[in-house]
Amino acid sequence: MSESHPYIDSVQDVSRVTVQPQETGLRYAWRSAKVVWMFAWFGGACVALAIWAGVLRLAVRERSRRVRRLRADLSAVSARWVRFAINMGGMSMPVNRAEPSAPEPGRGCLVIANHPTIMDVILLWAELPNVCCVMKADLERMPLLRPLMGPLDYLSNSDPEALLAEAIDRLEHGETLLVFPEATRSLLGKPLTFRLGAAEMALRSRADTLPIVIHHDGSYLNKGQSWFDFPRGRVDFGLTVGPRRSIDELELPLDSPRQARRLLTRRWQDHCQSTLDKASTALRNLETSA
Amino acid sequence: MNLLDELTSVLASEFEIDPALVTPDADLFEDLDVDSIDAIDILARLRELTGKELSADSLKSVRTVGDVLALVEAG
Repeated sequence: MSESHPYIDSVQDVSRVTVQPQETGLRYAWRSAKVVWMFAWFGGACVALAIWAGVLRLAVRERSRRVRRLRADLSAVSARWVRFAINMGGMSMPVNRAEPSAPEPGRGCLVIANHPTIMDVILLWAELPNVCCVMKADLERMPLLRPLMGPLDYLSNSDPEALLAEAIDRLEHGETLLVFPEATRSLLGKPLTFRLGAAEMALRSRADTLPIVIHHDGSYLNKGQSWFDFPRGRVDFGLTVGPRRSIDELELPLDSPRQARRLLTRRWQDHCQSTLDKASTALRNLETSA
Repeated sequence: MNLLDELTSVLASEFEIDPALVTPDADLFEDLDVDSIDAIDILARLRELTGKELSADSLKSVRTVGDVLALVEAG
């Protein structure tokens, strides 16, 4: 068995991982219990954060400071959860970060990522200390997330026109905004299709852009799969972060906004797809050699 | 100037679309290469031009130039 991590190999070896057998019987029952415990942990953390948001509301007068604080706490909780899930053997998640650039202070940043599972956002929260997210209108009804959405000052996608304007405004004010350009979760094994809105936000606000590729072994939480359809082994995630680029560095035809947004969307899509393909080829090779 | 001419001139001047292609039967997305962001911008321009309340939701059922004209006339 090889001992390198397929998601990272293409660029740099950060973690050591082996191909695992499919679990059955008691082992599978134990696996399921661990996954339930992982969800319960995060669910409990969300309840605690909602209460914490109430405390902050009373204790901190200035709204922007309150929002920043709560986002930082959510990020810390998420990072902790990721460590917990890795340590209990529930998942692996090596992160490969591109050489960090020195962004201009106060410049907004649009983070784009592919979206294989519902867990992605936790992995990204852990990576990004102060991020504004766009929430799907039907997620706003979820009992655990709903009370946090207002205090975190997140955006809703219920009106695309308003969302575009609001997102540009946030980026112009120096916020970091996370958008999944697929607008919904990816379908396992299908090519990614990105929509144009994210590119338009970056172009109109002239914010920096930071692509994050989320690797996922497809063993759990795919679109259409229920959360209690438990995995038969550790779930392998991985992040390829960056590089962060300013709009000027991207060399887009800015005099033609339509071409520019199509080109940028295309480029992001190709970047995510080729990074994913490289990793899955490496994974297949690993499996056949194992 | 009727509505079709007005729309044609907006599409030509602001969205780089050949006026000869703009007929009531032309499919915005297939024939005129309008994308989702253009659609939002076109709607905003139509609001300015006509002073009518046109919701972004109503765009979902729009396919052709004729559909846009009908939408504006109904709005």
